[in-house]
Amino acid sequence: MFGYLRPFKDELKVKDYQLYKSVYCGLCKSMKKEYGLLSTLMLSYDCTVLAMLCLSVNDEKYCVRKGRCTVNPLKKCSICKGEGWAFSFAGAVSVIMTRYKLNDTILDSGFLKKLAAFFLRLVFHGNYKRALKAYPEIDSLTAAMMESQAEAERNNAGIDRSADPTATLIKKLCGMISPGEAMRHQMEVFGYFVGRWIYLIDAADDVQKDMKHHNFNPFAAKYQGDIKATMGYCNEVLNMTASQMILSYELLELHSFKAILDNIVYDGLSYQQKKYTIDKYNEKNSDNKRGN
Amino acid sequence: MEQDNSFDEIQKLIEKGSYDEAEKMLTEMQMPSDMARWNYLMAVLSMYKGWLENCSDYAKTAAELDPQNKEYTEYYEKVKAARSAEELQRSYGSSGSGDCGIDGGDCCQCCLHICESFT
Repeated sequence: MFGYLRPFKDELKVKDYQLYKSVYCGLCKSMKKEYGLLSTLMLSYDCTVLAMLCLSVNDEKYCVRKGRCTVNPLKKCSICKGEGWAFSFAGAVSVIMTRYKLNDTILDSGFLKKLAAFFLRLVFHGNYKRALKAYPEIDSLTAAMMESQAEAERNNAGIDRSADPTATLIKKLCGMISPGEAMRHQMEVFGYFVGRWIYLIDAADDVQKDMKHHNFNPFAAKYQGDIKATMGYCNEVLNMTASQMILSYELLELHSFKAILDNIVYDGLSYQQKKYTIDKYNEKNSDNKRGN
Repeated sequence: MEQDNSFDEIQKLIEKGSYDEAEKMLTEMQMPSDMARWNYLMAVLSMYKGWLENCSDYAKTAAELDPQNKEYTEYYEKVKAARSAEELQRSYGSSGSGDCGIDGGDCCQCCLHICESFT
């Protein structure tokens, strides 16, 4: 995943922000315990949200206690600990996704990045094996997603088809953490639009670079080099995806972390969207104007 | 007449959640007599599948082919509202309008950062 799922801090109460941070630190601790210290490098905001959603929909008991930061033991922090499998699941997702992202970098990047990714893949190989053993289904879903994504890119697919593999992966992960059959469908619909939004915001983030280097980007074809029109189009497509995500989110039965999850879905995503479409365009535009 | 019945059947399949079956029937339909309805049903189906760009295109075609049909035009209006973030702002409970009409980033404080404000 890519780290776009984050709360909008300005609108979050201090106590909720502290709780959010404690989940982040809790996931970090859990990963260290299961996979070792280096695995905490793979920690992501998206998986923090996944852990929180899992705790919330399953009404899993958790406690927050004081502790020391895994990376910097001099720093005190609050750490959330769940009684079930939420952190373990989110940690495995982090590890497995990182492995596939590294595979992708090895295939697609220049020499130096390839070399770095190759080295990191070696370093994380043991972690990946452990995650694979514990959650083989996450690995097979991710492998299928990567294959389907590569095929969509090879065929210069449109927006819907390009976003479908990531959307389907998150849909299935959300289905896996669903508390039972009754809510599975709703969780999957929500997951589908979250995944679609993540893929599309990442594509929107890269579109100017991809247009310049003639790389594949599902947004690039429609307005053929007109960056302003393309960014407006990205925003429209993301808006529609977010509106469907919100409709499905409102049908979920959440037992905890509701204020934080509300903040992420209602404010955080729109803040990220503005940052990567409108602000990014305006920033580049004013740089260009200054350059002229 | 026969195709009208098929359309009704497809609509029922969509309502029932049998999307694959509905899609198969729609795509296998030879020269639909009512292209507007065909496009409308494809739009609804695409929405359920999560293929929102297809949904948008089909909804637009349906509304253009039969502009007198309220069902199709209203559906397309809803799609347009979702794209322009009006629907999002309703969800957020914000007082901002769909398009704040002011250039520059700061105006977006009123509508939670979504509306277009390219400079």
